[in-house]
Amino acid sequence: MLWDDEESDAIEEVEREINSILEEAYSSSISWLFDLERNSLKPLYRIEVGKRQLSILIDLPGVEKQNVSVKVGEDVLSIDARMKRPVTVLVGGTLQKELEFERYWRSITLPVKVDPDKARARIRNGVLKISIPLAQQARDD
Amino acid sequence: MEIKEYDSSRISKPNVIVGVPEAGLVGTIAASYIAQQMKLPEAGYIESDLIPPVVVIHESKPHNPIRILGLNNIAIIMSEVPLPPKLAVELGSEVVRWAKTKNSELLIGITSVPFEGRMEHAEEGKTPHVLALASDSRLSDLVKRNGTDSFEEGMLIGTYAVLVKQSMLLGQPNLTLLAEAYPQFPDPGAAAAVIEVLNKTLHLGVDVTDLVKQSEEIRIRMRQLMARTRENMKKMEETTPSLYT
Repeated sequence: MLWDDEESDAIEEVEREINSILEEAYSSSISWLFDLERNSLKPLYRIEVGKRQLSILIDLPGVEKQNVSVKVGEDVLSIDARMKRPVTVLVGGTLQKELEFERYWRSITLPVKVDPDKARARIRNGVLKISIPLAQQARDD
Repeated sequence: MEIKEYDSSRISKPNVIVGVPEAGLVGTIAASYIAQQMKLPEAGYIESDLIPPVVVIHESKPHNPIRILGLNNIAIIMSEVPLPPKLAVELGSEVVRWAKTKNSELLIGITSVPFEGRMEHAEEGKTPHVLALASDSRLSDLVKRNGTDSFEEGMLIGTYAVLVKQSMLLGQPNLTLLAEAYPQFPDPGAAAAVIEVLNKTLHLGVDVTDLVKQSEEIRIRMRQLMARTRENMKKMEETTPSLYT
């Protein structure tokens, strides 16, 4: 079927809008899970804030304890962990491409101020738990 | 919404196992693993306007994202896409209706209970605890005899809640198995624990050794589904009242 110029323009406009929505949806999912500049996976994590301490669980499958580096600041935490072996992951939306990753990296802004000098960490089966006492100010609030 | 079978004579009086994305992806991982180990063929799919316009491709073959695998007296309904609240309700209702028409012996939902102490339990060498919610005393006694504790107090939300409610309404024998799991990470260990309970209940004979071995790979592969599922779980929790004890 042949479209006239006006119908062609309208169809192209709809296509552009759909592509833009899809790109936004997939790129936001990609940016949440992958750091393509650092060629790293961003690990899943969970934060719990108690009365006296903050706990953060970070999922690091494929990682051993000796290859994990954690830096804790007053309100930010960063994690850098090398995997035992590289993994190939499909990245993308409609057309997915295989990318190889060999590390996790993530910087997490903490919801409250903490006392970084007293942070403790342990890892079991690739799940890292970091416990950090709240800063005095955060406890008083 | 409708469940469509490719050949309705292939599945008869089935035990129906349902696994959809939720906390820990326990249901999805367990359902998928059971289907793979038992080499169950694709038997049908779920059709609905509520399902996103998505086709999943595996080994160059297209598949509906929510589909049935099964043969004879076993059917597994699994989803590879997270279920927004409205879809969760419709799917749960349709699954029970279909199970009834197939004279299903038992409808089983596989899900999880978010458990903050999951890591501590793993450090102590404990396997995840599995709880059971049975629709009648016969089923309740059966799971107790197999060493599974009852789910005493709490709340279900989403597809599994609808499965229980609709089963009560239509008189469909129903069992919900809940494994203590990491709430926000894929948890193959919890899925393995549920499968062991199913082995005792239904005599499936599914060996979970490979599931445990592949645990790291599964956790990496399912990160994206877990991240999207978390978004849906947040929406459902926003509309759920607190439980007063």
